[in-house]
Amino acid sequence: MAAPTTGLVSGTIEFSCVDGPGNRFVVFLQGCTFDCAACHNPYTISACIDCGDCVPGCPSGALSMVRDRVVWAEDLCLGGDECLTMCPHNASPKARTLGIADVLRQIEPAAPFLSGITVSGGEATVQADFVAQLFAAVRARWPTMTCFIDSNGDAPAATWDLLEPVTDAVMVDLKCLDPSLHHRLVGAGNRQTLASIQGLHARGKLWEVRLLMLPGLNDDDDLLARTGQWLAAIDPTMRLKVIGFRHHGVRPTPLPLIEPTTAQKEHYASLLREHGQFEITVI
Amino acid sequence: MVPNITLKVHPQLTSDSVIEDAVRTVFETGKPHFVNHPMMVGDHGEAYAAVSCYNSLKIGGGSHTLVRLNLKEAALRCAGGVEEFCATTLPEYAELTAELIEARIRSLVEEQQFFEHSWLVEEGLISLDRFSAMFGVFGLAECVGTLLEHEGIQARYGHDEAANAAAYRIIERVAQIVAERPLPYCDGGAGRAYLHSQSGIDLDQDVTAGTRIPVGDEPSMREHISVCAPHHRHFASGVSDIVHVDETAVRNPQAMVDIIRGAFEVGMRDFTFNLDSNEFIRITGYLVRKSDLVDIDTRGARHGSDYLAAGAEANFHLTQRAVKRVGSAELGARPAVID
Repeated sequence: MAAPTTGLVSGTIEFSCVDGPGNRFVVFLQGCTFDCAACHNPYTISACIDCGDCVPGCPSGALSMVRDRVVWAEDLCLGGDECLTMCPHNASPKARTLGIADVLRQIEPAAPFLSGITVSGGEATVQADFVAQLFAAVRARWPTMTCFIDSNGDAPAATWDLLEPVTDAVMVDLKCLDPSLHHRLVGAGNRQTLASIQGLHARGKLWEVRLLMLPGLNDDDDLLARTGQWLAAIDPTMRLKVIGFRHHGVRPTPLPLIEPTTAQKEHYASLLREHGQFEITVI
Repeated sequence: MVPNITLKVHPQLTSDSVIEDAVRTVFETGKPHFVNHPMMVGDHGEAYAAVSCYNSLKIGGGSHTLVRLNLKEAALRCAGGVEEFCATTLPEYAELTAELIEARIRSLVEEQQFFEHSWLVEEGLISLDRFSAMFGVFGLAECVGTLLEHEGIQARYGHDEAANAAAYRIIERVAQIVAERPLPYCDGGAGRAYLHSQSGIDLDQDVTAGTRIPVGDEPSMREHISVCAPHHRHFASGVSDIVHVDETAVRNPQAMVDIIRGAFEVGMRDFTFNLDSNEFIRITGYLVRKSDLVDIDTRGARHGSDYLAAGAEANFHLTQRAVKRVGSAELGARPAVID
């Protein structure tokens, strides 16, 4: 095991019911390998470069420049998102470098209420060493807690080798089955993600696959059918989350992003069901 | 409609699936409440019952009377701070409360001879030796604010350490006073009244119920539960803090099961929650439909309890509770869904 590492943490939530089973503590890591046009938390994509553009815009004076570094005074922060919206670099001045002990200390008061923890982001696997050590520490401290990862799947087998012994399950986003459309929507290819979904299932660690639906872009009936077939070939009973795109938090983009209607979402679900007895949740 | 139903929860003996069934029932109807069975048994023995107005008493017993002490008003009659309140003002008003309780008990038992004449006793449904009385308190939040102001400190119960500490100090002092004040015909409570954290009736205005954090001013869910839980052990005859839950919890009832278990583990006696989008809402012990509350003054009400609830709603702004996001909201007010 490597020497104790630190992680660049965008933020945490004590209680979440949408990041895996039960009530969970969620750690959002800063930094992602993708740059999705539809990203609803784009301020988690990059690390802060201390340009200082966000500093004057903070309504509570919680941001300042100290020796050319942006400093966030957490006790003055009112929880607004002016700095996040303003950042020209897809970063956040609130991201903190934390050690394992720091994170455990944050989890402690919530522990009696938790099924476990989930690491999300950003992209959790970018800081796989930190995640692996965190999970080991969580399991040692609270043996009944489960450790989940929310991931874009864009990681090689070696990363899953590292995480497998300490991770209970992974929730993977499949942005798009078609490689060139995937590139258009996300700025990167899907080869690793497809391999990860298959590999995680083989390891018995695939919790669910999430499909973010963008009407007119990745919701073509034929593409959906092929997606259903591809997923069914791996496991026709797997959990799927069909998520309708929402504008909140999304950056301006030339791509025509639209929110699907309830009827459209139901259509996606029934189309997928033609190819497998998936356990589908529509959000 | 005022149905009373409470699930007694034992940490080992009550399964997740039973609690989850109850949680799903709350999503639909706003009931049941959940109580900490071992804590209740510790105070009452196995034969106890919990009813929807957050009353818990021995089966076969009851309470001669409930007299409530308004801590907010008591603090306004104290020139000093927390310590002076606990040393002088509180004992004075607590004794007046006890005197009133005693007078009522004696009237009921000795003058009216209720227990000599009641068919309930004759049929063996109740017995005097299982009875006690209820000493209620409310307005703790305002009481704390006032006393700390007298000390030159601005602090809010539920948000500031100083206020939370003052709240615990005051309640512990009340508990001590009540434990040391014998009352007649209260064998059910070992010769003393039970403490009750009294949630508001429709007459109360500008005062927070019981030992609750003021409506609309609640901190995060975890903090809300953790701040209020330490009071619960003192209130054998009932206490309630109502947690408002986002509708995203409906798709993940296991999350509420986890929270309920956690709440009891950190010492809550009663756990009650409302679903933000629920048609039914619990207001001061009455279960009403939100749609029945609208325009009640012009249209009238379907059920008698709607009037009481409407009064309580108008005075308490209960439909304004800060929603606790058991959800994906990140720091700040965003409703973003992480996935």
